[in-house]
Amino acid sequence: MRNLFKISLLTLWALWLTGTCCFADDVALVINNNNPLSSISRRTADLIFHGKKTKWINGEYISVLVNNSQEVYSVFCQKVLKKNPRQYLLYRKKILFTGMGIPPMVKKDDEAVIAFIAKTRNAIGFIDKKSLDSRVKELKIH
Amino acid sequence: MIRRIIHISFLPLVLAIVFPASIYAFDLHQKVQIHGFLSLGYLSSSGNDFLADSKGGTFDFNEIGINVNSQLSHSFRIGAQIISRDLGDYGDNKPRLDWALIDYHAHDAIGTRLGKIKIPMGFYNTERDSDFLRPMIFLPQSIYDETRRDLWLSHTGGEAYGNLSSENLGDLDYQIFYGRIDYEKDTVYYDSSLQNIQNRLRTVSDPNNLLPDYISDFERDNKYLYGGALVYSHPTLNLKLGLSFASGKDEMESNGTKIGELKIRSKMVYSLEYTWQNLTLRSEYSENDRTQSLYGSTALDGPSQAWYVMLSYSPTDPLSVSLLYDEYYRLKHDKYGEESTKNPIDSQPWRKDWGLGLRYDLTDNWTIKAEYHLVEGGALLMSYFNPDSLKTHWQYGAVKISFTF
Repeated sequence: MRNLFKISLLTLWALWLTGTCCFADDVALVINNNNPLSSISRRTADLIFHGKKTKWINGEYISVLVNNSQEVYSVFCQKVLKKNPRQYLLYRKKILFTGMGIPPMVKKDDEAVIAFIAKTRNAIGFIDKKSLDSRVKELKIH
Repeated sequence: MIRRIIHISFLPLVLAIVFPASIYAFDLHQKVQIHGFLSLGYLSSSGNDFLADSKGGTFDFNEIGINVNSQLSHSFRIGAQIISRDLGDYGDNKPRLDWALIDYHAHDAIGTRLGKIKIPMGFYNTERDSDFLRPMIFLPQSIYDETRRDLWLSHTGGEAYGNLSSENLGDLDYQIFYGRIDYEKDTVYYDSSLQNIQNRLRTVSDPNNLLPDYISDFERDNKYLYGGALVYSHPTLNLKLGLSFASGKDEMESNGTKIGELKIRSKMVYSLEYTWQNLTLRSEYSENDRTQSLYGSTALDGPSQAWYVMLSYSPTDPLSVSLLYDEYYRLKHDKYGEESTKNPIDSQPWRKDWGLGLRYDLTDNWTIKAEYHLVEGGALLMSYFNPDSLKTHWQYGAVKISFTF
């Protein structure tokens, strides 16, 4: 019993030492250029990305994208959702594995998010601010 | 043995290198999606056997699940999950339906689910089978007792649910459900209940010789279960407060004759989860007010009491360390069984558990966990696993790896 615990402890300690940390700049919420909105509150963004607000003001369903680029994802979780990245990942998994719903679609990086939102009127996502271009519109957080 | 443990500990690391995480990243754009999980564990104890023949250590400790979801329209979804599990002598990796439902959700404030649905008792009951969702391998046993897992896992019926949100006040998730539980016989609770009935037949007074000498089988039928859950989320703090309630009734029959009844007058769970920076505090308090009769006499009557506090610290995103204190009393008003010894299955009707757990997420898909518990008391069916020599002070530990896709 004690050996089991010691070995487990040492293994996890070693893994911790190999852990990575994240460095990133600011993130921007982005929507389709035809979406009339220009800003939302942080609270509304939080509800949207937790699947608790599913429609835009005009009644259209919101299509939510999660950017899986590690640095951008990490900054988004901390600044917008006020969670650490692991907590938001577990929240999405909980929705999926307990039958509560289907979590947001995942895109691998800024370019994939921009490309999808540029052709999807009801979509919302987040990218590194440096990647913003004319194909999408920034949705300011007030 | 040690070599096997080392292999288990490093297996996820090797597989994570061989199979990059991106292969398994969620891509939920498909109309039909398939996801799954696999958990493999090792359970060991000293002093008492815990849930299995664990004193010598056991690898009979795993779960495998696969689910299918289809978003038929924006408001209409169907989904199901099959699970196979093994824990000691139970489960034996036979596939079973975990949940299967039709979900209609036309408005954020109101939706409906019909089918086999997880029961929302406390913050974590719905995630019982999903080891990778929680900081420790075992949920706090006082409220999420593994031996009674099948009593509270899911019901077949319907629920209304929704979210009421306010910009400044926070938001409120609610669920209201009504249904019935389909009990299976390959469970700890069935076998321990049968043993309890047989014990009672040996001891009950039967001057007119109306009762059988022995029964080898019985049916447990849930007549109804209803309840609800409320979860309040604070708008700025990472604070969640919850309240869950359920009430239900079971009847036991043998050879077509009613032999007993369990009535849950009210089971309540009060829940709290608060995260501040890298610290998360979880605490829940529960009382289960129930009455159980067997062969016309009352076997149990009154509320149990259960509560725990768990503090988790995450020094880096993938690593967390959790400290748990957990208490359970079979009868709130007779905590140490001094007034009543009516139920021989719980000769020590209390349990106090100190636990220390580590969790490391190797990737988004791979998790490894280890934990150790120091326990006093033998409630929650420890007598069933240790019929001859139940120790008051005992320990258990476990290591588990989980993979999701």
